[in-house]
Amino acid sequence: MITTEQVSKRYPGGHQALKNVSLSIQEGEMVFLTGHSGAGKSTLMKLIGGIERATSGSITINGTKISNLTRSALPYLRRNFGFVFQDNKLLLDRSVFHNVALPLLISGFSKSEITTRVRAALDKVGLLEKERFSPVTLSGGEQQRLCIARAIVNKPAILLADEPTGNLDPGYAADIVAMFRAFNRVGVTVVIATHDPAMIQGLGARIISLKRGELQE
Amino acid sequence: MNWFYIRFSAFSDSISRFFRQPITSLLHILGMGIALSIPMGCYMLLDGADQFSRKLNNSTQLNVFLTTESSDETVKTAQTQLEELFDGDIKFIDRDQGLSELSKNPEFSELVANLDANPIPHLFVLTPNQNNPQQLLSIAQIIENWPFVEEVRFDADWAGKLESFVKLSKILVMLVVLLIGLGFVSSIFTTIQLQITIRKDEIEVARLVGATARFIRRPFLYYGFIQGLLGGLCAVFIIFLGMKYGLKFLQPMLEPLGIFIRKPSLLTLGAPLILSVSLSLLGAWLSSNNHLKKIDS
Repeated sequence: MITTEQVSKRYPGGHQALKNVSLSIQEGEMVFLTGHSGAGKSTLMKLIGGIERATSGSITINGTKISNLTRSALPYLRRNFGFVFQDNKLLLDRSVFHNVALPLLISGFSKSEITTRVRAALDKVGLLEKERFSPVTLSGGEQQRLCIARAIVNKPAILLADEPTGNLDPGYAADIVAMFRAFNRVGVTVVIATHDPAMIQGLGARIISLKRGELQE
Repeated sequence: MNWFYIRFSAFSDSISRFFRQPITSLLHILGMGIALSIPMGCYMLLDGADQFSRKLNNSTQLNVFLTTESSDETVKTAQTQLEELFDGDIKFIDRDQGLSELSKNPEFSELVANLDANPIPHLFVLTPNQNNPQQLLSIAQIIENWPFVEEVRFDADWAGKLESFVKLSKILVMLVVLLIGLGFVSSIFTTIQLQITIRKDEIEVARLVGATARFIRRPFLYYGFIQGLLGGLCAVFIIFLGMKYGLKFLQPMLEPLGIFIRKPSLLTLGAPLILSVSLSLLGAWLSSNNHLKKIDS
């Protein structure tokens, strides 16, 4: 489902974030990308999600080479993904409902379908009763769950989570990991970037390690 | 339905953002309205002067005065030469007829009665069939060189100068409109940049969840459209107020000059509106595109 071949990324200024990374992630698989801070986890997630372009090498998603896509085609590729970020990236001037509705509005869903899907997603993460709330009134764990609801509302084939539990205490973090596990069980491919060993333990998922931008065997 | 819903959401969001800062928005609209109404008002004033100069040109006549010592023979020669040269009505006013007409004027009657000799020259009044001030001017220059001609008076001469002045002023007004247009675009560009800064997070998130450039650009274009429309309407309103109340004071001063400001046509009123909306959309498009290019690079 996701294949990278000899992928490198060098930022302007000369920082080499990734060096010849080749890996393959199967459909329905759950994978952890690990490594210390600055290892290149976030960069690889951004390249897989089509947020940034690789300097060299190729990335293939469901048989489509990202490097072959035009700038105007990239947004349609991104709709296949659900993104979860450490800093949530929530819109604080919009309600919980409208935060989750955004991807559906972008994809052109009707108003009634948006309402149904948003409520279903909020129900899954346990925030249905707070749909009218402002995100600022939610706790850290709830904000992260809201971010997950927004990521899954479009029913994406691939879920990309970058340090999703980085700011959470262990109790909340375990909840979030359990949610990802549940999504994976219903066939969603889940890629989680984390530097937290506690998060990985006992899940039996594949672990891909990065060190200074290179893949560790 | 979805098509409409997406656009309606963006439009209503843009309207709500516009009215979220009512004083800033109002002042901006007022500034746009004033900036547009000034050149439009000047144009209408010049249009009145233009009508006046055209009217003068249409009634153009050439007055050819012969020398006082011209004989009847000379008058006949002049008549023949004028008929050969000039296409139009040629009216001869005899010097005696001229004097008698002058004596009819109460102001001059006493003066005329005390004259020993008739000082009035023979006069030919030439009225062209087709009005062409340039052609008439060249004819006047030919006639002026005839030996029996004392003077040629071209009444429309200054009207031609006025017309040239009006034309030049119109070009200047157009230049002002152009400069204001550029100012308009840069002002909207900056306003949209400010909106983009305010909505930076939203753009980032929208981009991450698959928004196309068109989707991201749309609310800013709507914002520019609303601002342009309201700015244009404000300009129309200012022109309307100027016509209704300002003209009462201006018209008495302009009438002696023969200048009458006409009521603006639908096109005159529509022009600032169309201009305002188009320039605002251009500014919004340039601004949002500039940002999209930056974040995509």
